[in-house]
Amino acid sequence: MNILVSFSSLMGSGEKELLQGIYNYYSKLRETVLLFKDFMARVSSVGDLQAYYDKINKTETEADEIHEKLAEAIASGSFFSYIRDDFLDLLEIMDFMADYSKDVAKMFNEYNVSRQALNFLFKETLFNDFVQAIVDTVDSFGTVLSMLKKSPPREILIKIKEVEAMEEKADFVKDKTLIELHNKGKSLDVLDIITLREAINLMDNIADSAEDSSDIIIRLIAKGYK
Amino acid sequence: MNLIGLLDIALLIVLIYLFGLNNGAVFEGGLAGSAGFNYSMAAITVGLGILLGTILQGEYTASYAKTLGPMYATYGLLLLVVQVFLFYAFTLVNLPLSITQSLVGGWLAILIVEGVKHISENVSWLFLWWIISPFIALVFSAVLYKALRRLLFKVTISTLSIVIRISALVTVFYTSFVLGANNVGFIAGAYSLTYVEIALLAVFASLGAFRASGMSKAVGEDLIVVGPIGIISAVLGGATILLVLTYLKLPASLTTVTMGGLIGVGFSSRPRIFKADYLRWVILSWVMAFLLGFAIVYLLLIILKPFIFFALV
Repeated sequence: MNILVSFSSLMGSGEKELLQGIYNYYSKLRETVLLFKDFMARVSSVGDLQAYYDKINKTETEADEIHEKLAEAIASGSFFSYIRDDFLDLLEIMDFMADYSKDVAKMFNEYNVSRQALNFLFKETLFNDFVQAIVDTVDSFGTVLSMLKKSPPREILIKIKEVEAMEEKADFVKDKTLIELHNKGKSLDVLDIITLREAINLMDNIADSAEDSSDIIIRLIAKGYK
Repeated sequence: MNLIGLLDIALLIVLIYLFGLNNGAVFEGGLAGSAGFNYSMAAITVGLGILLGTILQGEYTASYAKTLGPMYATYGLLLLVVQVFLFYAFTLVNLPLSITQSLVGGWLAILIVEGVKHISENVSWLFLWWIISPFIALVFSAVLYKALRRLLFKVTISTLSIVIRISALVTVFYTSFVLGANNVGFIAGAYSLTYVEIALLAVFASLGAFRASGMSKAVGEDLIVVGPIGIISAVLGGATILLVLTYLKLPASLTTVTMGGLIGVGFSSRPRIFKADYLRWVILSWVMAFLLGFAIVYLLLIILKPFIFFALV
């Protein structure tokens, strides 16, 4: 029976199903990131954050469940056996996009940052651009992931350069935001500045994990096509 | 079947198991890993390949065995004992060994000790091919690798995975077939084996091939790290050169040509890990296989000949 299963899986569609599964997982992660963006819009206005945070938390948990199922499928399947570990690494790194979204949302939800500091952050710095740059980097990685199913490696490698460019842009905007926060926000409470600085640095990890995930795709290609 | 015949079969089973363990690692280990085969599927593929190769094409190298000279019954037994010892020792230190080279070495020692005047002229022709075949495999596998890589770089990663899975299975079968046709065919010719005996040997060779984790690691990880396309190119290239040698009626070493192929692929793909020390030992083992086979059998015969009064039975 095992042999029959092995022979049928020779021509099987396991690879395509797995890639689709990874894309679905990404979609859930992106949903978390977009909820995080909505959450930040809510932070800038005055409103109840708990309901928004709960949504992020729920979506992140759902993403974790998909992650677990995919990891099981990769570990037990016979497809991509020579790059199996890299696929597991990819899932692990992608997970940080949702994890950090949740962590930052939790900070804003639980720490009492003053309204003065929040107004300064959203109105006097490039913080909104930074949030958008993070979402753009995540979206750009999504395009790379969707190409994995249907495009040859050369085209994927070109697209990966765009993810790197997006992440660099996010880094640039982050640095500008931090500089403005430190140089112009002298009137703010020191504790608020520390909290915001930590939140900005944690948010940067969302874009970083999108870029790191695209780096793993480079590794997949380098190993798979060698 | 007399006692010596029975002992021959028993020793051949042990030898062929060790042979599978030693030589099988060069190709099955990496390929089965690349394709994600399960044990039973891989073992059946190897067993079937060796069996069909020996039965359908084994006559070529079997006919070469007949031209070498007489295989004296008792000495044939001694030759097998030495082979078992050599394979056991080489496998313990994770070095691939050629069964044909060590067997021919030992056989020539028997003929010389027995004072056979005319030893086949094909022997020098055989030596020449043993020397040049790894170099041909090196170039052939490198070219094959470049071509395959260029071709497969145009397909998606999921198509690549399916192609690799099917190619690995085909390559394992093809290599086992060639191994049967050349190496096992030669042994079948030397010991005049029946089809049933050949089938038995094929089963044990396949069992050995999939217990070769230590050897697979030594060859696959310690020597050169190549990807799945590289392994398929090296093994396919090496097996093709061995198939050509089979049709030239020349018994040769699969490990030698496959290692030649691996080195060719490694050089053309800028390998990540390349252990020069291990490579030196592998190359030395190519030379040692024949010399050790010859020297041990020669010395044993010089010492034991006065006591083996039924040598020519």
